Amino acid sequence: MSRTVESVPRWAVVTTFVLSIIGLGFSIYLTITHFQPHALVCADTGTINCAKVTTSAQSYFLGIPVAILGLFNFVVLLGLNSPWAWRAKNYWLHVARFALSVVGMGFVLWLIYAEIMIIGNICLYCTGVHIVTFALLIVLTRVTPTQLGWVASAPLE
Amino acid sequence: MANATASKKAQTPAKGGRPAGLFTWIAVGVVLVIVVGLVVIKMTSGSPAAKASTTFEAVDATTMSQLTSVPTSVFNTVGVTSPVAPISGPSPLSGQPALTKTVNGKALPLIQYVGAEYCPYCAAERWSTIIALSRFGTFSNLGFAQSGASDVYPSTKTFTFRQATYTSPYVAFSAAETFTSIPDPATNFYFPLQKLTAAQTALVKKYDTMQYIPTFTSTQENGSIPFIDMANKFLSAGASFTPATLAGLTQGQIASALSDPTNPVTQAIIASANEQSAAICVLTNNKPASVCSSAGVKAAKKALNIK
Repeated sequence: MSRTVESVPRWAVVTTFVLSIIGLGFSIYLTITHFQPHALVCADTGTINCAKVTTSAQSYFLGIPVAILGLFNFVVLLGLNSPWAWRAKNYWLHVARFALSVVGMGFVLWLIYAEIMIIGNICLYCTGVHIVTFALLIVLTRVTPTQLGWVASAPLE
Repeated sequence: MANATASKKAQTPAKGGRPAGLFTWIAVGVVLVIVVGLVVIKMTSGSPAAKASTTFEAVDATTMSQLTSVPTSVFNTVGVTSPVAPISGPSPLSGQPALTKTVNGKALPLIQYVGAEYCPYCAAERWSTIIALSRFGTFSNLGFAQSGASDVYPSTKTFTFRQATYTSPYVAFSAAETFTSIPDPATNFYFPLQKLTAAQTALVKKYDTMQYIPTFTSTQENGSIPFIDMANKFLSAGASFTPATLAGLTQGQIASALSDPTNPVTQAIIASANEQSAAICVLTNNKPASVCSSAGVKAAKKALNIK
């Protein structure tokens, strides 16, 4: 079976790479503060309370700190969203990028549910990660289906 | 793996006839509907704290038994080993007047606890304190409790000493839970519960300070809870292991695992209980021998440099 991989517009390559770097930055900070809570600089009164979120029971998933899962996610995404990876001809590499973005967004929705419905507080840095993940999903849903020939092509450039 | 070919044009023949932006609109729509839905549900429902009750709920017999009858083999197997959650034991105090309480005409070494129900560090510490003291005497009227839902390590499951009594031929125990875990909108803190006596206040003011607590790094930590004064021979301020260890677990889950020395939560609680037991043994002149000569307490004595 032959699968085609179309090229994507330059803006998508640049945007996803920059978003991945920003997401990685947030994730590194959240991982550091997970192990060194005193390093966390954030309001701790009212709705915004990073410490309460990052020390909650929901800060672990299957026994693994969510911060580390986020770090791993963005390390992989940074590689997949690098200009070199975008130029790759391997069909499944682009599918993996898209799938990871969708799974990441699903996980973010669970974390938002935990913040709003269970913990009752919002973590600013976590919200930063959520926004980056959402933005990545928007870009990837815009270009990947066309890139992989799933939908009719559209003028992207 | 499929053979892939790249073309240089973004405009390719249509497949499936779906517009290119369809996936984006679906993704944005789903995410927005879920997030907005969560916010609306949250705003139209009451907060858990507002619904919380201050009613005292006594610990059931099963949990009480699991809590106060930890097998000796578990104490001895765990010793002071807690690789997942490191333990900090009580610090020795010397040259201070004896702290005692007269019980049935006999002056017993007094162990004074000061904490609060909202406090997550107290929540963690009570587990090991109750277990340690239960080796020297008997608790009754312990109640279920959890730390503040809006504090760090929220809703850590624990017990309360608010109505508890303790009898022992070796030591006396006194506890003060100064606040509930129910937020008080009027003060933006928690509803007060038990006031400290003048004697308790004096102990806190003198010993719960940087001068006597070696782990304090600034005077801002003075007055930290939980504070435990063991007859002016040992002091403890703060939790001996992180409350994160107990995150997401119910009292029943924690208590039922206390017979498993390989469980990381059990190891943290029991290692701390062994260290507190070792300190209490100093107060009781190593009585009872069945506790103070046990392998677990011996390991704790070694860790605390107690001879």
